[in-house]
Amino acid sequence: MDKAKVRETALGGLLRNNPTFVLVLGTCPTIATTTSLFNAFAMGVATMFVLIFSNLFISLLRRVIPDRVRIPCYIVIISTFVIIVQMVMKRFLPDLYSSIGTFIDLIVVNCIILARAESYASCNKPLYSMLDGVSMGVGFICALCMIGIVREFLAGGSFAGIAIPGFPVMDAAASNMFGFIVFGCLMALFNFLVQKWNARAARAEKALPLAREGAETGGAAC
Amino acid sequence: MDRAKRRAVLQSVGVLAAIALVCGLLLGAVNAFTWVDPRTEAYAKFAADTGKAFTLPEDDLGADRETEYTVTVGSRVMTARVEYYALSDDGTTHAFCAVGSGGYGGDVQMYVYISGGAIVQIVAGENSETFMDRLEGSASFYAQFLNVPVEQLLQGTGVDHVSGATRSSNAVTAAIGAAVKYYEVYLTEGANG
Repeated sequence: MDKAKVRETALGGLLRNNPTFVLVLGTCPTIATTTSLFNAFAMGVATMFVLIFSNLFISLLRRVIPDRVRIPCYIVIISTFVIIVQMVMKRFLPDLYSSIGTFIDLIVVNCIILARAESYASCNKPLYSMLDGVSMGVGFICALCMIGIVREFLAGGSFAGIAIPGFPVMDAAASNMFGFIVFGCLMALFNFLVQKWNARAARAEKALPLAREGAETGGAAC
Repeated sequence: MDRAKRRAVLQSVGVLAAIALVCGLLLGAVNAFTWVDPRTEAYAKFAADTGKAFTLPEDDLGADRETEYTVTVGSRVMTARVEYYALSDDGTTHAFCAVGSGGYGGDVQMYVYISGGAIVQIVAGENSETFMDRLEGSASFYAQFLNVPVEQLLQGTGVDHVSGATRSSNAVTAAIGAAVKYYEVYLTEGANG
């Protein structure tokens, strides 16, 4: 495996191509399920499961699926894994299912999954595609959890269901409108930090030839 | 249609059909692993909601009864049905799993518990309503059914809906109405007769 490609794929979904904060995909479930940290995490894990396996299958079948029916094929594969998540959650986690079950159906049309199938899994090898699914899934979970932590704290005065006394509760934080405000603020913060990180990485990249040159000349350039 | 084009179309259809078949088989296998008898599930829900024991009968008593009802909600006539009914082992609580149609996302399943001739508990079951939280959040919606004598509910004095969730309110009201009708017709009249 190409190490640089592995690194790029693994970090891409977390930072530079974060599906929620950078690509701004899957906004509907992001706002709907982030009223608490637990719901946000569960939705993220369900989406990651579907992402990993749909990417794997689409990648395995990429040479078999004809171009003209690729979207119906992707939808059939994605919806299969969504229904599997739904059946397993309904059977083993009924409380969670009653809480976010409505939004599990919507994973079928989640643009993150369809976008990764179309732009990555359909033209990359299975292992890279699975890694992309993990990376995008973890990036999605992190983003949902960040929003969930803020909204749960403001709306319920708690963290992961544990009440934190002494803070005024703001009921409006549970509303969708406030969800968008939190989403926007965190998106701005995230992009600011990623841009700074990118700028630092670019500076380091520029400095690298000089350092190499210096090393070759016995460190005279340093 | 020339031969190459026909071949391409057949190939597309064949691949899509093969993928659908494999996915169907996969779903069948997972379903066999996760499936639970809905009646057992309903009885477990009755017990969990009320904290009382509900013994699953050997045979499905009352399966031949009429369970479909038309319920008038405001100016609308809606259909609703009672899917499962059980009496708690101590004989105090009548539990109903009822389904009201016409919700925003389709059918709405409700668990209704009647004790002492009045509804004592209402719990939302399986549904695809995106505005059910508005009903849960409304202080007055469920309150207009709770602890009201069943006779009074059967007279249909009108129900206040939750603003912005009218269709969900209608479906929930229809499901509760079906449970109340079942209770009145088959239990009270049956006991008297």
